Amino acid sequence: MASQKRISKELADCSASPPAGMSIALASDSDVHKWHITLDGPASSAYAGGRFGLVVTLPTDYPFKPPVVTFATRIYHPNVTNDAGGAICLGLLKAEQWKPSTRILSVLEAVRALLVEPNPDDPLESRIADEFRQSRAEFDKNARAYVNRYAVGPVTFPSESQNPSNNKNNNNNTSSTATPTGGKAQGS
Amino acid sequence: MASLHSRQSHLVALEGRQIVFCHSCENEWYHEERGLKCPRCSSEATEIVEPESDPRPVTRDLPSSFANAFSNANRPPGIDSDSDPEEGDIEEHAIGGPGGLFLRAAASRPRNNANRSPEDDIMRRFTELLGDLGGPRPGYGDEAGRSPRTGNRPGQVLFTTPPRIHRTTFHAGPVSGTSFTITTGTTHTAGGPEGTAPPDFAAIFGNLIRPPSPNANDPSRNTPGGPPPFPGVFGMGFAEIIASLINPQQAVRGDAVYTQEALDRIITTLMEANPQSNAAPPATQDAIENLEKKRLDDEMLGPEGKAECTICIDDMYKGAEVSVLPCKHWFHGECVTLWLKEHNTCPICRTPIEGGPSRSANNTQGSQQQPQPTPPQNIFASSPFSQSRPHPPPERPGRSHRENEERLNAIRNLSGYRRSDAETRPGVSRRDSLSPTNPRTPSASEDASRSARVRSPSLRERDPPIPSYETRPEYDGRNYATSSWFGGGNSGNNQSSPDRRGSDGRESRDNQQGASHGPLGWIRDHLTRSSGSGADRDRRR
Repeated sequence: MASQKRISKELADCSASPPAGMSIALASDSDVHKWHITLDGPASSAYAGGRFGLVVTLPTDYPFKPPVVTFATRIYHPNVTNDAGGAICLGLLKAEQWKPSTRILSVLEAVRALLVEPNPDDPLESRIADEFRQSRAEFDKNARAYVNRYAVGPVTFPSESQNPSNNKNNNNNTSSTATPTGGKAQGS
Repeated sequence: MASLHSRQSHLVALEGRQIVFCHSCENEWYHEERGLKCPRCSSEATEIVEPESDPRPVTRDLPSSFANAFSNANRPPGIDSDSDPEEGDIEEHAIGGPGGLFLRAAASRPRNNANRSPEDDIMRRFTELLGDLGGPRPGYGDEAGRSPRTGNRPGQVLFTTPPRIHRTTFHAGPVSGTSFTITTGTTHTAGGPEGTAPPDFAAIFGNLIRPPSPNANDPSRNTPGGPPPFPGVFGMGFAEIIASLINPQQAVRGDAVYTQEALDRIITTLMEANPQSNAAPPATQDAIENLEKKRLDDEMLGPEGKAECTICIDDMYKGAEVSVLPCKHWFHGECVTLWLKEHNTCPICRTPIEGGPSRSANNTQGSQQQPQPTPPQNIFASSPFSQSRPHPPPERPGRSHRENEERLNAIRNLSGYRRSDAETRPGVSRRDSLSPTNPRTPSASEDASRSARVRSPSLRERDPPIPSYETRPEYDGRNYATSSWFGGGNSGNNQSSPDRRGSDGRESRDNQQGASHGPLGWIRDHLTRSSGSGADRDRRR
């Protein structure tokens, strides 16, 4: 299958020269469509010192459909849902903006760039976005609190089963209302 | 209660024979023998029985309290019964009997619904309110006129008694229900303050139905003889009640939408069901086949002597056959075809592959631009669903009618449109947001005149609108139970409620144009097609 071939190539490339602060592994050796990425919080960001798990799921018709990238580690960020799902709002990955010439490598770099520079104008969590815009110090403080709470120690990825338990802090509540900070937004 | 006896013996639709059912007297007969008018009561409120929508009453085991309420209501000789399978949890029946109106609505919902107790409270007050009302209700004059029998009863004075509401709550298994029965007219003579000043029932209904607003407390809105000013919570609660009566979930009943929220919800659902709608449309087969094919040469490969197809990231060497897009990017023919079948843009630079450079600008615009931000009340004037177009699209020369048609077809296929849909509704340009092309490629002047035509009724809308059954054909027949709910109140509605008037006006504007495929029609097409009853509806009555 064409997608398999391209994915294998991309995996080889990414593994050979991973983006800064990332390490890449397959979720399971038999399936190249699910990648587990460990991402170190960029030093220049509020997430410095944290280790974040990213799950990259490649659709079977990749590269014609965009990959799905989610945070496996809770993160306090305007463009990431503040829940166990960890959905990321990244223009690059939207169906209408996706181009097959985009590679996973550039997707990962875009995610990393999003940590350095959140995009409060296109938020998933409008409350966090407002905070980011209006009181940056408060935002940094909250983001660091999240790092200390969720993003220290080894990264755990969700298991292959349907169990959405993400983290050591799994609170048995998969709905987005489980966020201690609330503020789930309707934005993209 | 002759009607009760007929329940046991429904006619059976033999091959090729259609059964017609009379909503007024529950008579049934074969279409070919007696035609569409009821031979017994001459009513025209008849419906052809379809297997999927049989309006004839079924013998049911009603909870006894419910059944009591039913018989106590002293109903006129005939009950509309509506067994639309889509609305299992709500019943609404209305009938213009001799000299009166009979309305029955029953809603059932899970017992654990938290809204129940406020509803009860509200309905109690509503019952009290209606109990206070009396006298003639001009709004229902035309309703009575719909029943020819009315005229056959000489000497009868219409509407001399107040409307009665009989409410019964019953609990059966996991479901509890509340049934409301409203009767008016001469059929019900027990008591009632006949001498009280006749309030404008329609206006009061308009008040109640109106969305919650600060004016709910405005005493000037209450007619003389009416109840004291409603508390704000009442108005709000009643809007919810109406919504939940119509449909507990969506304030949608059949093909009618009653609140802005419900409309929004439908639009959202449609957009979500079609997540690609924002992305570029697929390329046509022609465009894909007509791509330039080339063998890689030195110039294309650059100094390294090799390159890769960015789709499959395989290396490619001199001499390999590639497909070259208009933007000069090239790929494996196979790879790029797979992509172009989904989106007609270059996988690298997203330049559309079809049409010349001038068109490509349009195309990008058409495929990526969101509907222009406009004030909400203006949404139909410039939304993709609109027939009017504020900005006439520039002409696109160099495209044959056939090409346009094919392209449109491709787009329709993408979003699940059936070709027949578009064909049976000529002149519909509702896919404008997706397709910058138009099959008719209207000239600017034609387009301007179209928008002018579309706009002029909106001026007329400022005049006191007089909606009638004539201007709202889709509410006739099957839905006239709903019309009765709002029907008498329609004029009142339109006077007292700007919000509703806006949507009603829009609706009737569409109808005035003879186009049942306005924005609401478009939505209705979507909603009814899945249930397969869209065509039936047209045939009824």
